[in-house]
Amino acid sequence: MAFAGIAIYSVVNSVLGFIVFFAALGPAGSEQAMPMLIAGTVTLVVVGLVAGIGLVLIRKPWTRGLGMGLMMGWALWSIFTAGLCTGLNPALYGA
Amino acid sequence: MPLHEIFVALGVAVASVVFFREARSRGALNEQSLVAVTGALVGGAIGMRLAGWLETLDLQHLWLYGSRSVLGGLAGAYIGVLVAKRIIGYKERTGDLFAPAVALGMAVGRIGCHLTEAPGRPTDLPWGIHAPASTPECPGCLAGQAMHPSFLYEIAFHLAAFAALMWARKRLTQPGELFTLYVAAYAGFRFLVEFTRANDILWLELTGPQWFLLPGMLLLGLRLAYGWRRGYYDALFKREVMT
Repeated sequence: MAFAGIAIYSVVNSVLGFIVFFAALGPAGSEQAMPMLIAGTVTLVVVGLVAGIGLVLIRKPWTRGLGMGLMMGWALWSIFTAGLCTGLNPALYGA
Repeated sequence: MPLHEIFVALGVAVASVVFFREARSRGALNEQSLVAVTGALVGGAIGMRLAGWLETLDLQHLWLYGSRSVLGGLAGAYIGVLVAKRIIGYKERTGDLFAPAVALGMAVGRIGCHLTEAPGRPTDLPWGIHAPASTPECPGCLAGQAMHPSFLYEIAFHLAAFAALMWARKRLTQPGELFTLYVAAYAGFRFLVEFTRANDILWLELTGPQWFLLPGMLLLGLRLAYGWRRGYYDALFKREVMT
């Protein structure tokens, strides 16, 4: 069930990602994208972490596996979309 | 092509395979290990983001700009495993399952950093490298300066650490010590390699990660001394314990 949880989260993540992407392409552009991005981020936290923890706390074998899968899905997608590994000190380059 | 993300994903995939093999060979392929993995991943992801946010204290950076800090990720993963095990009441040590997996996963993940980011501080050493001028936020790249290949140093460390861990895993009998040794070695190495990285200097010529590591290295040093006195590492050094 953990793998099912990861798969379900991945689908939700991908769908929301497309919605935010197309919102950014719309006539309002980045002005509309930011609220959509925040709403999408909150929704993903709710689906991945809140629902995941809730399912784990039900303590049935299948809900526990599904809940852990949702949480792992959120964590993996979060890690895969890593930003920069390092900060930068422009002073080192005399900039 | 998002090379960075691809190599981070590859690193996680490699780490998952190593973890699975390690858990199977130690007879620990069970639900408790899955709970520990969940704790590590969730704690790691949150730790990476929190550490990124601490650099700016800008709320937007908390969730909207991805995971940024490996050190924050490792610290978060450690806390996440502790919390997850406490929730299910599991008291066995699980760190030894993670140590080789993290080492090899980091070696792969850092390839993405090397290919996409500012490689390090300027250097005159013969192995200094040049990065494309298109590298984001890299004045040294624009200026054509040679720079330390700091991520390659780190990849070499993690590959060596992985080999050492595979050598030591059957010799160390005290649960959890493989993980302790790896974390201590990485903390020491990372502190040193920061002198070649392009991170901001905060105070006294030390970067943020170095200030983060200082108290951690002190605690790890005390922990290693504790293990040394009790003979946890005797099998590695063929040390005779006086009786």
